[in-house]
Order: sequence, then structure tokens, then C-alpha cells
Amino acid sequence: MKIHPIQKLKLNIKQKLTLIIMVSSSIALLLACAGIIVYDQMTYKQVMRRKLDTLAEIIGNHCTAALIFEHEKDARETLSTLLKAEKYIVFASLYDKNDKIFARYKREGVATTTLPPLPEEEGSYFEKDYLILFQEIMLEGERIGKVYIQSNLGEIKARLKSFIIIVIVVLIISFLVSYLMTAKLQRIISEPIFHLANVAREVSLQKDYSIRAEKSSQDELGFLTERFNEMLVQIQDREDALQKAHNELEIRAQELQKELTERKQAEEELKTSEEKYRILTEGAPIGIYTSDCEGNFLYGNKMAEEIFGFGREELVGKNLVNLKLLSLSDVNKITELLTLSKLGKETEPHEFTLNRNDGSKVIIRNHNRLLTISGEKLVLTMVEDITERKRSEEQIKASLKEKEVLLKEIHHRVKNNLQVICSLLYLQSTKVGDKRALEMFTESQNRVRSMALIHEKLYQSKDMANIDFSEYVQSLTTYLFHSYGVKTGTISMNLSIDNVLLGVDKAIPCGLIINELVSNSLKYAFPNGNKGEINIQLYSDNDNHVIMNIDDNGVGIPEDIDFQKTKTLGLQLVNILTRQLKGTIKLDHEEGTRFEIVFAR
Amino acid sequence: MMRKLWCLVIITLFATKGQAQMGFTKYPSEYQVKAKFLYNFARFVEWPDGVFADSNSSITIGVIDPDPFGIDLDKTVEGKRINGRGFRIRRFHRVNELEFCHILFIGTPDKEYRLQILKRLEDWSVLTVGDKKDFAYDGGIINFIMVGKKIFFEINMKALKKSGLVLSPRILKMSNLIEGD
Repeated sequence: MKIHPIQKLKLNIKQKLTLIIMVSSSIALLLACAGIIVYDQMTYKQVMRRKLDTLAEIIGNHCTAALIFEHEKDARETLSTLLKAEKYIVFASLYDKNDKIFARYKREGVATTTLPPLPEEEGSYFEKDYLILFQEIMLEGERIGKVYIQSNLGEIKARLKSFIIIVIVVLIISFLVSYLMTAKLQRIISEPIFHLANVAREVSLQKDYSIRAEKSSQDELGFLTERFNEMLVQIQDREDALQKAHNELEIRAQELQKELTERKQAEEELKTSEEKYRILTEGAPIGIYTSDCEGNFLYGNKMAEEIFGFGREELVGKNLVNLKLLSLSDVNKITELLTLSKLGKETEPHEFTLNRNDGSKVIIRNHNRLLTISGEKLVLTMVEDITERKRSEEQIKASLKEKEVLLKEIHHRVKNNLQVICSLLYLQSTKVGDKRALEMFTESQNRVRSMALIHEKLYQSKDMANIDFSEYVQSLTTYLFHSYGVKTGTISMNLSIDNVLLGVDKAIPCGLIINELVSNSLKYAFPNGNKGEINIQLYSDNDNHVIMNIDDNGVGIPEDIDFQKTKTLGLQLVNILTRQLKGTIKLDHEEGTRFEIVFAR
Repeated sequence: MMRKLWCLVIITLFATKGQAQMGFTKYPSEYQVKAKFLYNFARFVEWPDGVFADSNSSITIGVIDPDPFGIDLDKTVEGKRINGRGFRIRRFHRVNELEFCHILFIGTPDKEYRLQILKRLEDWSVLTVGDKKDFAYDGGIINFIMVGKKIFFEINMKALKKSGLVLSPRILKMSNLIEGD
């Protein structure tokens, strides 16, 4: 839009309207007046011509006689008489029919030395400041002369002057009237605009979009007001929406801030934890490295570097297989493990020997585990330098072997010594005639023998600490049968010994208990060569208790004997040994004799 | 400039035309002028009713001897018409020959004769014109008087009134009015 100069003026709409109306009405009026003046001037010129025509006619009429009768004086007088009243006629002359000057008239006071012009053809024209007219004087169709009139334009000028004065007066009056009317009427336009402007200002100042402009007319201003109000409604809506959005945004921003803080914190924590884990990984006293599924190194910690004897830069991207650190069998093994890991299978730690570049050898223990980090499969390997441990293990193994040999030796010696004691007791018993004494010797022999048997079984055992008890019981009962001269086919021995391993501290009391109780059965349960059977049962229950049953189907222990208070050495020993085992003993003599001894292993 | 040039051309044209006419006609003689005047009087005279037989009747100009015009008068009125009327020239030689005519030129210097003629015309509405001294005083209506080379008129108002004619004031204005018998 082009800006009209009026727009640039610092005027309000009221002043502008007034100005526009005033200017345009004045211009229109001025143009109309100018038009009227021009028209009037033109018309008046015609009027003047006609007037002059008429005048010329009158002159002709009045001068016919003078012309015809060639009375110049009369003609002169007639001219003078007729033209005196016409103050704008400055010059006139009369010609006879031969175009000879006949009479002339010059207005008094007109300073002109002009001679009457030569007659021209009939007609009138304006020349300079004059209107000039020539007219034939006719009589009965006969040309009798010609009249010439020269009029100045004083009349027309005077008319123009008075017209201009009238125009000015009209202009001033109409200007005033127009101003007054405009001042009143422009309100029709300006007031709604002012109102609208005021409302707009109020709205913008107070930021209150609920204010509404009043509609005062049905024209464009009314339309404008309506649209303005609609716009306000829209703005208000939008403002509300904006405010809402703003609030939401603020909340969101706060949330975001919070989230950010949390994230920062989390990041910080992550960083810290990362740092922690980095330190942990780096500072781990165990080598940790990762490789891809093809065995190429991705990362290795400090320890791993030390173990492999390579810098991190030398390791990363290399394959363990290609580093020529391993023997061919180890390479095959490691490839196999890698393949298994790749398939997601758990693998056991394996030991390999590394031939490092500096010529040293280390034994490592590799443990692979397949990990998936961010969807990428990689193999985490824990590597441990176990060279030292291996060495000390070897030493321990050696010293253990030594100790075993020593222990075997000791057990052997103990057994041998006990064997010697046995033999000594036997030799001594051959010199004893008393049956009771002999019996005591035999019993003592048996007791020593049962102990020696334990030591024999001990040094024959693998670990020198536990013995196979069933084997022991077999040997012991066989010995006792032989010792007591049990004839074959009379008393049978049934053993039901579970494979319970017992230490020396339990085995010796157990062995002695079995020795006493079996000896008692052999001695007293089957008198007179009665047939019968002895059962020995040993098993362990779930509560880690060992239950030992020794029974016979012999005559049984007399009812009046309290085995716990008996004075016989055998049963006394049994009670003592049971106590030593921290176990319990139960006697049942329903059928024969049945002892049940229960103790914790 | 163009206008001035045009003016010059027109002026030259008229000038030559005028000269040609003047060269052809020369200056008119006294009686040629008088003949012209005589006929022109018809324009400024109103005759009473009944002097014309009808509206087309000619205006009769009579000349009683002595006739100073000769053929000039006839030439002057030849083909001329005033108010639709033509002209007829009649010449009279004696008083008793006189008949009615609208304008009668009496050129006799003889006062007696003149009076006789005028007496004869007493009851008719005839515009009497003469050119001798005291004609108007003798009862003639218009008399030509020579002042230098110019011809003026004397008009006997009484005679005019008596004749019943009405003369245009334009003529009266330029004439010497006398109160004769």
C-alpha cells in the first residue's frame, strides 16, 4: 500500500477526515466556481458580441438616413448620442457604401491616436483587450455602409472581478459551513473509530481481552467492530490456550529439569560407577579381557597385559591364536572353548601354558563367558596367572605324599608293634595253665588284635584317615571265629555293613565294641556247640548318625544282669567306648541278644 | 501575425475594389445625387391611406419642367424597390397636365409658376421637393440647399403637416426646419 502524504501528517483521524473533506469540498467548490466563471466569461463574450451586434444594428438603423443623405454631422451626432452611454465602447466608425470613412466616434478620455481601421468583412472578434466588430448597414437589401465598433473588455473584466469576489465570499462561507458541518458530521465516522481505537488501547494496556467494542453502525465500521470483537474472542481463546500451553510447558520444563537433574545425577552416578568399575576392572588382581567371537582382542585390563606380556595397543585387534604364545594343543583347546562359548555354552576354566616373548613361561587359567552387550556378542575371559599357585600346589602335593608315606609307616609300625604285643601275649598265655587266666590273655590278645587290625586297614586305605569298615569287620570276625575255635557249620556270621567310612577316633572304639560283643556271643550265646547266627549291621541314617546293631539268636543275657552296671570287663569296655563315641547303647533280649549303638559320625 | 497578414490582404483587396469603382463612376454630378435623394425620400415618408391602389402599386416620382435630371433619374430608380414597391417616373410639362404622383420635383426658379404648381397640388398628398431658393418658404415641403458641395434639406413643417404626409424624424433631425406658409 502506497502511503498518501496525508497519512504522514501527525493528525488524528478526526483532523484527517476534516482536512480531507475540507480540502476536497473546497477544491470541488473552487473547480465549480472556476467552471462557472469560465462558462460565464464565455457566455458573456457571446452576450457582448450580441450586444455589440445589436448596438451596431441600432447605429446602422439610426444612421441610414445620414448615410443615404450623406449627412456626416448627423451621423457623428448619432454615434456620439448612441455610444456615450456605452462606456466600454472606446471607438466606433461609420463607412459609406464605398468604404470611405464617413463618421467616427472616440470615447472621451481614451488615449488613443489610432486611426479608424480600414473596413473589414462583417463579423466580430476579440483582439488583445478589445472586441472588434464590423457590420454592414443594409437598407432594402442594399448595402449602404458599414459600422465598426471597438469595445474594451472592461465590462467582462468587471464582471470577472465581481464574480471572483462572489466566489471568494461563497468559498469563505461554504468553507465555514462545510467546516462546521464536517466537525459535526465527521463524528459519524470518527467516533466509532475512536471508540475502537480506545478499546484497542485499553486491551493492549490492560492485556484484558474480555473488553468488547460497541457496534454503533451497520456499515464497514460496524463490520470492523464485529470482526475486532471476534478477533478479541479469538485472541482470548488463543491467549487461554497459550496460557494453558505455557503452564503445561512450565510443568514439562520442571519435569524436564527434574529429569535432567536426575539424568545428570544418573550420569554422574554412571560416571562414578563407570569409574568405579573401570578402577575395579583395571585394578582387579585378575586378568580380564574381552574378545569378539573370532577371538580377536577388544579390551584387556592391566593384569591381562601383564599376564600376556603385551601392551594394550599390541593386544587390541590381535588374536590370541596368532600371538604364538600357545602350543598347538593349547591352540586347539582354546579354539574349541571359543566355539563352545560362541554357541552360548558354559565352559569350565582351563589352564594353558603361555610361552611369553621374553622367554618366561606362565601357567594361566582361562575362564570364558559369553556376554551380550548392546546386542553385540563378545567373550569375556578371566585370566589368572596360576604359575605360583601351581608351584605351591606341587609342593603341597609332594609334602602330602611324604606325610602319607610317613603315616603309613607309622600305622604299619603301630600295627606291627601291636602284632608283637599280641604275639607276646600269646607266648605268655602258653605258659598259663589257669583256664580263667588263659581266657583273659586270649581276650587281651583279641583286643590288641582288633586295634592292630584297624591300623593295618588304615595303612592299606587310600587316605590314611578312613578305613573301609566292612572289610575291617570281615577281617575282625574271621579272626575272632578263628580265635575262639568256632567249628564251621555251627555259628554263621551275617554281615550287613554299609560302605561307611570312619575315622581312626571312631573306628577304634567301634572295632573294640564289635570285638567285645562278638566275643561275648561266641563265648556265651551258643553253649554246647549250639547252632546259631550272629548278625552285624552297620548303616548311616540321614541325620549323619551311624547305627550299629549286633545281635545273636543265642541263649541271651540273663534277665537280672544290668549290662551297664556289670563288673565284667567286656561290657564295661563297651559302655566306656560308647561314651567315648558320645553315642547311646540299647540292649534288647527278646530273642537272643541285641545291642544297638547309635553315634554321630 | 497571421491575423495581421490577413487584415493586410483584405485591406488591399478593398482598397483596389474601391479605386476601381471610383475610377468607373467618377464623382456623381449634383443632379445624380439629387435623383438618388429623391428616390430615397420614399423610404422615409409615410403616405396617408388610399394613395396606393394596392400594396404592389408603384411609387410615382413626377418631374415638372424644367427637368434637370434627364435620364439620370430613370437610371437611378431602375430596378429599385422600396417596401416592395417599384418606381414610375412621370414628366409633366404644364400645370394643368399635373396628375397625382407620390413625389414631385419642382425645379422651376419662377416663383409664380411654383406657387401655381403648389396650388394645384394643394389637396393631394404629394411630397414636393425643390432646389431653388425659398421653395420651402413658398409652400414646398423639402428644399435642397447647397452648402459648398454638400446638399442639405430645408423642410417646411407646415406644408408637411398640411399635405398629410409623415416624414421620418431621422430626416427631420438632419434638416433645417422652417415654419413657412
